[in-house]
This record gives sequence, C-alpha cells and structure tokens, in this order.
Amino acid sequence: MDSKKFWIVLAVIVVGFFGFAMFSKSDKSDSSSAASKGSSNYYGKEDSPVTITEFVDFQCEACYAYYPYVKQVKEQYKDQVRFQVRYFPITSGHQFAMQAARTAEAAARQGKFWEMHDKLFEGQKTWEQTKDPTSYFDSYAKEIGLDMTKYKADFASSEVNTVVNKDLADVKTLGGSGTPTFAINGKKVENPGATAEALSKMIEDALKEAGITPKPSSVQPASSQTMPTSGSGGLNPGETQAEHDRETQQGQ
Amino acid sequence: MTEKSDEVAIEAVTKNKKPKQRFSKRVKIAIIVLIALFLVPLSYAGYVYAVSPAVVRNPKLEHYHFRTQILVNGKAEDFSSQGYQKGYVKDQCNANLPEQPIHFHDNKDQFTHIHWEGMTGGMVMKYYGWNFIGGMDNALGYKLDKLTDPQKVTTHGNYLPAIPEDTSFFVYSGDENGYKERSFDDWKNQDLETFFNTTSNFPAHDINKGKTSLLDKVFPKAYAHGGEDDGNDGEAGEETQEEKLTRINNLIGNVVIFVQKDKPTDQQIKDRFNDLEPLTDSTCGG
Repeated sequence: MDSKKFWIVLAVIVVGFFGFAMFSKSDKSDSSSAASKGSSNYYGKEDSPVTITEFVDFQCEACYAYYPYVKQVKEQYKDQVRFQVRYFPITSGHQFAMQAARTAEAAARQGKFWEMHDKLFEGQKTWEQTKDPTSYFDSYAKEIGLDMTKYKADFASSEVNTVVNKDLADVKTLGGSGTPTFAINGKKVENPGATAEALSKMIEDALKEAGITPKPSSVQPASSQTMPTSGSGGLNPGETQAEHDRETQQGQ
Repeated sequence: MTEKSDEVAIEAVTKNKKPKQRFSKRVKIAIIVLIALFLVPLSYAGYVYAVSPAVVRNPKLEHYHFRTQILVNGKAEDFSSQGYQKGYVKDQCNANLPEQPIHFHDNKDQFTHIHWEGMTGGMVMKYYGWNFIGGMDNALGYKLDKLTDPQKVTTHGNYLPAIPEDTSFFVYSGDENGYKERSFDDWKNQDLETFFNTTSNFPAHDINKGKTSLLDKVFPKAYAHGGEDDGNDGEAGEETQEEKLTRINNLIGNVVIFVQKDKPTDQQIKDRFNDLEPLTDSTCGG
C-alpha cells in the first residue's frame, strides 16, 4: 500500500513538472495600458461595415512607400469604406517617431489630422535627416492653419501621449510587429503590398465579404515618383511649394 | 533433493523479504529518475549558457554601420556578392529585434549592418566563416531571452576564403584623411563601438545603456522636442555633407584588414581608405 502511494506521488510530481514546463511556454499577452481611448482619426464612409485601419510610424520608410497608394485608394473608396490611421511609433529605431505622432495627434485636436498626416509623410525625407525636426513640424502646423498656442499645448500634453501609447498597446495586442500594420474591422491582415492594385484588392475583398459590391471612384493614379526620394526634394521650414518650385527651376 | 530444498528455501526468503527493502529499492530508482529528469535539462542549459556570449544570450536592439574591407593576399573580398548578401522585408519597418545580428544587403560592398548591441569584429568574422573566438562551430551561440525557447543564432555561412598558410592579420582603422594600425586582438574581442571609439546614435542605444529609465520606457515623457535637449538646436547646415551622411547612416568607422605574409605598405593602406563605399542619404531600412 505504501509503495503504491509512493508511485502515485511520484507520477504526480513528474506530470506536474512537465505541466509546468508546458505552461511556461505559453505566451502571456501583455496587460493593456491605461483604460483610455486610442486615436480616432477616420476618413470616408462613417457607417461603413468595413473599416480599414493602418498603424503608421511617420518616420518609417515602408509607410512612406505605402503613403501615395493609400491616399489614392482612400479617395477611390471613400464612399464605401471607413479608413482609419492609428499610431505605431517605433521609438527604438526612429528618433523622431514619437514626436511626429504627437504632432499629428495635436493637429487632430483641431480637426486637421489628415492635413498634418500628409505633410509629415510628404516631408519625411527632409525632416528625418535633421538633428531636430521641430521647426519643420511647426511650419507644417502653420501651413495648415493651426492655432499654434493650442497646438503646442496639445503636443506637450499627457493626454496626447496617452492616446499614442494606447494605440501602441492596441497594435501589439493585435500582433503588429512593424509598420505599416493593416487591420480590417479590428483584425490584423497581411500587408497587401505597396501598390494601388494590391490595396484595392484588399479593400474589394473586404467589401465583398461584407456583401457590398465595390464601386471605386476614378481618381488620378498615384505614383511613387511624385514623392521625393531624398532630403533634397523637401520644403525648407516656412517655404511654400511655389517658392520651392521657383528655386528648383532657377537652379536648373 | 538438496537442489529442490535450496529452491524452496530461496523462494521462502524472497517471499518473506521485508517490504521495507523492496520500498528502499524503488525509492532509489525513483530518485535516479527524478535526478535524470532535472539533470539532463540542467546540463543542456548549462552547455547552452556556456557557449553563448552574454550579448548573444540576451540581445539588445541596435542598428549601426561600419565599412569593412578584407584583403587576402591583395585580393579584396566583395561583400556585395550574392553569398554575403541577405534580403530583408522591405514593406515593413520592423519593431522587433532582427533575427540575425549582422548583415550585408542592398548589394552594397563594405557596408556592414549591425543589429544587436555588443557585436565584436571576431563575431563578424565568425559569422562569415573565420572563427577566431571559439564557441560553437556554426553559431554565435544561443539567444536565451526567452528561457523556454532558446534559439540557436547560426552563422551566415563559410564565405570568407581559406586563410593561406604563413600569413598574418594586419588591421587598420581610419578614413581618407588618415589611418592607424590596430591590434588584431582588439578587433576580435572589443565591442565595435569601443574599437572604433564612436558611439552609435541609434535611439534604442540610450535605453540599452541605461541612459533612459524604465519609467521613461513605460511612460514616455511628452517632451516639446523628440527627446531630451542635447543642446543641438542647430540645423544640418552646420555639418559638412560628409558629417551629415555619417550621422544619418549611423556610420561608426571603417576597417581594413590585410591577410598576407608581409605588412602592407603605406600606399597600399591609403589606397584602401581612398576606396571607401560612398554613403547615400537614403536611410537604411534594414
């Protein structure tokens, strides 16, 4: 009887050991950050059953590559799809990513998120090479007509910081490991490829799944060649596009 | 008759053997089993730990570059050739630690990418086939940041040419403005930032070196600028073009290694430092 008990105890220990080893292997998801809302920057059909979310890092070259095509398909499908951009600044690698995200969210608080979003991407090749892009970001804020006092206060506020960090926490929960990360109706999808065709296919597949016949509007096709490939193509702080073009022509 | 009585006696003894003795034997077996259960993985863990340098066991994200030239009997190794090159995902900026610590890519010669902190010249050479630092044959060690999922960090492969007999290693660091001779041991063993006496400007670097606190990581401060004011308010106009390119490429230095019998001449060394791969203002995506 004693020996039988002993073997039972031994078996329990062995099973417990392996069980512990297996349990330790399982991934534990991080607990969510502060119970606050993330960003809420939308474009397109407000009540669409299809929401396409792009998590971006404004200093990311891959997001930069996607940008003109995302912009194109946003216009093409704005009557059928709700588009959303959220923040995923990769601060470990991109020195100004957090600053850019806060800039965009500060602009959002004055209803000018998309204008700032476009400025940040179109000027990326210029401001990312500086030691401090603040003057560029301030010039963008002025160009899009922000109240600079409110902009600076929002930029430095903990509320804006919390919004960005909530987006960061949410994308990690989604399983995002880089930028851009795309999600359809809150579910992460594989990156479709930085072309209008690939993005359109992703959108149309999502629409069809929702029982909607895709009806893209015709817009001017985007081209990566319209985007500067180096810092020499961007605007200097305070410089308007017309002034830049004049200078460029004189230089030629 | 005698045999039969012996057998009966033996049988009687066996039957009458005390339960305590049988129990004791089983306990011994159980203890041996338990020890084996713990000892085998412990031994494996010990081996894995011992063969893995600390910077490989617990890697930290880094991203800087330096230019490498290796000449064997006067013939420069072409790191832009396919064997050395490694592709990377270009439609996404990776937020995680790259799987491999060292790369050549984008078909560029000389331009060596380092993605983990603490890499040494010895690790770079071992990664491409010259092992002067010991350890495992085809791996830098094991990544143990997830203890329950150790990952072998395999080398890229044996692409560096066979080392001819009767040769020595002559190591130089510098640029087109000058150079200095370096110790092969320093090259093999020193952290590359120490070897080149230049600190990486990669954002994660400060976190790795403890210059940013854990609180800063968990609750990033809403600075008016992108980070703490380091006094550099100036625009890039204060820099020369070369300084700017060095900064945006996070280039920490240049090394030229001659593997040959005789020491290279001053002209031979200068020729190499005058043949550095040009920097571009396109920031590295990988």
